[in-house]
Amino acid sequence: MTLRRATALILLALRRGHAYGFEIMDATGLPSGSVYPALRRLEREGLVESRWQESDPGDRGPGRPTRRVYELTPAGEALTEEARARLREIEGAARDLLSPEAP
Amino acid sequence: MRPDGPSGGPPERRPDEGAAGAREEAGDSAVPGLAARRRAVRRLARWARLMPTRRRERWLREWQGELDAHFGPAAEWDHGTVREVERRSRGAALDACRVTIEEVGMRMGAMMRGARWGAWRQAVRAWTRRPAFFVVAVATLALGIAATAGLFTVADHVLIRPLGLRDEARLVALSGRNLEDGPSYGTVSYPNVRDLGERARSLVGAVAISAWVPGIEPAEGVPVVALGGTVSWDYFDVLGVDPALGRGFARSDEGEGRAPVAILSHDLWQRAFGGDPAVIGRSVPMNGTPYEIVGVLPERYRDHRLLTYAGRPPEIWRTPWQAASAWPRSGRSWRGIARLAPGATLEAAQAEVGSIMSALAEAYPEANRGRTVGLVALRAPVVGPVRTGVLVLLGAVGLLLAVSVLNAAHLVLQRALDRQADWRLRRALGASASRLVGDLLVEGLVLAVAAGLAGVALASVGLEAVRELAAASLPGADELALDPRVLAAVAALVLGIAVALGLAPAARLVRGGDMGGADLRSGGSTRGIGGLRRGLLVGQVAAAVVLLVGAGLVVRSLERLDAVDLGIVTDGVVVADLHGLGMFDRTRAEAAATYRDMLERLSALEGVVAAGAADIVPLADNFSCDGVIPLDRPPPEPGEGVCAEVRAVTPGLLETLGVPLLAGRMLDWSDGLDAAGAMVFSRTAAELFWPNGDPIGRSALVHGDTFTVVGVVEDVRARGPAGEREGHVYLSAAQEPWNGLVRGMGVVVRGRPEAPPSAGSVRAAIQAADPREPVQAVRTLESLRGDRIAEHRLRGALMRAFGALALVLAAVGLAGAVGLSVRRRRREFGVRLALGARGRELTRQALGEAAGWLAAGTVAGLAIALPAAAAARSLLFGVEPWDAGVLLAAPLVLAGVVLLAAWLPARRAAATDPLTSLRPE
Repeated sequence: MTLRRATALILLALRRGHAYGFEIMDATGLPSGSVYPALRRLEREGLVESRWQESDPGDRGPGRPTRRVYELTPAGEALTEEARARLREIEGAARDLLSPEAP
Repeated sequence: MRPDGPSGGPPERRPDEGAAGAREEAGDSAVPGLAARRRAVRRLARWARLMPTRRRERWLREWQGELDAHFGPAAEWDHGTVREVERRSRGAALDACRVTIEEVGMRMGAMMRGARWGAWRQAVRAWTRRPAFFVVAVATLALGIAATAGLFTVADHVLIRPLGLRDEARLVALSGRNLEDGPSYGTVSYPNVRDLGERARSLVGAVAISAWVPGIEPAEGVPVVALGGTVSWDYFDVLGVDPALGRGFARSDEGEGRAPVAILSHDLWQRAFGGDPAVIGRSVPMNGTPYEIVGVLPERYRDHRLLTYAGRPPEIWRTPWQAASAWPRSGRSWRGIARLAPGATLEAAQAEVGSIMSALAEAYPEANRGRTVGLVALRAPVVGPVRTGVLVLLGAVGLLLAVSVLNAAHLVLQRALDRQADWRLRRALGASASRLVGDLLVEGLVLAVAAGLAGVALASVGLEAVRELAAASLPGADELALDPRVLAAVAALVLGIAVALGLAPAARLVRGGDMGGADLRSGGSTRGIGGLRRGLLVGQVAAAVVLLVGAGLVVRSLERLDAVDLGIVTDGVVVADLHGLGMFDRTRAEAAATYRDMLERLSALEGVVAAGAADIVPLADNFSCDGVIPLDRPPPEPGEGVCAEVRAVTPGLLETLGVPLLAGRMLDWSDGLDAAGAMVFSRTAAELFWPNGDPIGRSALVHGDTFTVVGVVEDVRARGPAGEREGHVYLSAAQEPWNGLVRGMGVVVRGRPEAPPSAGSVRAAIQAADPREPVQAVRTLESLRGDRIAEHRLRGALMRAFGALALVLAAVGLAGAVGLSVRRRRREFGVRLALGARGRELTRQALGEAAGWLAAGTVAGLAIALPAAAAARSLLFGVEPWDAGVLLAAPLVLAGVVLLAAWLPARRAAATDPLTSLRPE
């Protein structure tokens, strides 16, 4: 299966250490309607794990919401190389299309 | 750090939660960030409600956490952040939808996977074990599906389907109207349409069609009379129809002195020319003039948009090649159609057409003063009157479908009860809950697919019947057929039904907690019938009441229509349509002599009482309104004259139809070409033109000649039972200047009521007088009368069918519900029987439940039926929407049938064996 661009971007964002949904949106420029369903699918496929962020009870108030943290699993890590290749491919195609036409 | 305070509160909190909430709200508004956060949180909570509970909490918590952690304390948000929060929280909606879809998909997938192949076999086996049950459930559903598919096809045809023309949304009908009057689907004159097409820049083209009924004499074979039209040369270009064979009309085909050319429909080409492609270029005599056939239209094209002959479309077209004087500006016998230019709106085009028409009224005051042309979206003039009827029927069908699905669900639920022990066993043997639910879904699917197939078969049969019935009332009825889109809709419907049927018992199982231990009897309310289902039962009784009242009213309308006195004799009367094929080269005197000979031969036939002829026979779908100008007073201003239905008739016509003479004399053969013009007025026409005074001896200008009134007769309802008694002016055909005799007449022959003259003898007598006349159709006047109320008949037949269907469905539904209730309370009945209760009391009690639903449903049904009938009043004839007989009879019939049906299962309450019911299941 070829990785979709959005999936590849999300995998690399996670690799960079962007661990929260909103951070991933900012890092990839993808809308929430793409990021969250993709994260859920990756989690179902065992490429990503998520948990509630452990918070220091002394530091935060009781009503303070915690964040969901996403991390790559080893299988997910293994896929980042493919994701990188896929993005390069897309980037190459984009460069070709953007370059001024050859005479 | 600011305390989070109210802004960190639970998302479910609403501003109306008391004074504290209100204060917070006021405080928030001062700080834009807090207000924005509150809005965002509320929005998230709203969307979270969409998704399954299982997923809700985590989703909500994650989104809220992100909002807070990512953007920092809300009190410090600047405007940019507020905007961003707005954007993100709106994006959450999409995500919430995705979660829901994922969840549903996963559950369905799990169920179907759990079901596997064996489940299908098992489902089929489960149904075959209870064949009666299966048949009733399938029949119930099939009736609903058939009614829906059939009616949807009709509605689709009438209301939805594109006309089969290129970009038909841009086509508009040109409707001539008087400036003072409201909208009308009026006719227009050919020169006006031509001028509009040339001048209006908001129209790409404006074209027209008028009736033309040629007798065609192919080289070999018998002459055929075809229904046709005279059309503008660019008629088919504007409509967007290309010929399948040969060429279309060209500009050079129109105008005086051009060689006459004609285009054939595919059907006529097959019928008259055996589908021979060599017909193109051949010269064929029509009404004595040779026409060159230049093209054949595609098979699927029906030209029924503007002009039909009692529902039958034209099949042959020619261009106006005669002298322009044959199509005068005052001759409004054309129906016009135009195509809007790209970018032009209907309003803009209407304004432009209006101003061109006033210019034309100034240029040609005698023809155009006081008149204009309106633009009407093409569909309206074709199906306007039919539309209301179809919408009413669609509403009826929606009710039927809902009721039939309900009933089937009920039956399935009842069966699920019987199989509890079975499920418990399978659960104990290790079947998973999702597996059992999957099995139920498959069973529902098997039932629904069987019902879908039966329904489609039933719908095809039904449509066949509708095609017959609707031939005269629905334009293009012969095209009615189930098409792939309807079948796709049925398939979707079947799937929906399957899921509903499968999930109904499954939901009860799941709600009962552990599948195996679920006790269906205890589910819902203690009376065994949940509020929802009680509502549904009452609903189906109400639906049946509405449909029965509707059917009653429509059927009563039909009875009234059949009882209407037309003012003419129809029993034993036949009409032969003559097209004047043999007359075109005769003088008026010769034609009159031929008709006299013909009518004398007809009168001499065995059993014939009288015979006569008219250019337009009563009950034919053809009317006129010609100016009548009395000579004993000043002529009216142009445009202010009064018109009347003028007929050219031979002596004997009025006698043949049994129209009583009120004063003076009837027309006779002495009113010939050499004599003074003679005419007979009917009562209303005489009162209209000479309100005070004896009309006999008065003269008027009709069709451009002077005629004198020689007699007054009673009015007739020439438009059929639903029409008014109208005033008519009968001119002596031999003197009538527009040459009705040569153009073709309808010959009317009256025999004895029990023995109308045979078509063969009538044809033979006519051809003895005029051997060149083919006499295609000889019909009884009764059948013409039937055609005039065909729409009522169609509606009557459909509503009767729906009423019967609703009756059966309500009976099945309530009987099923009583059965279910009795089955559930078996233990209770057993105990009471054991304690000495009498069987009859238990039966009565079980039946009492049904009577309660019946009463509630009847009240609700009448409450709906009355305003609905009042709204559809225009479809009724001679009966009020609140007709007491119908309002009384419908509930009584329903109550009788439903209680009888419910009595069968109710008896089982009494028949309960106390011992069986006390035994554990």
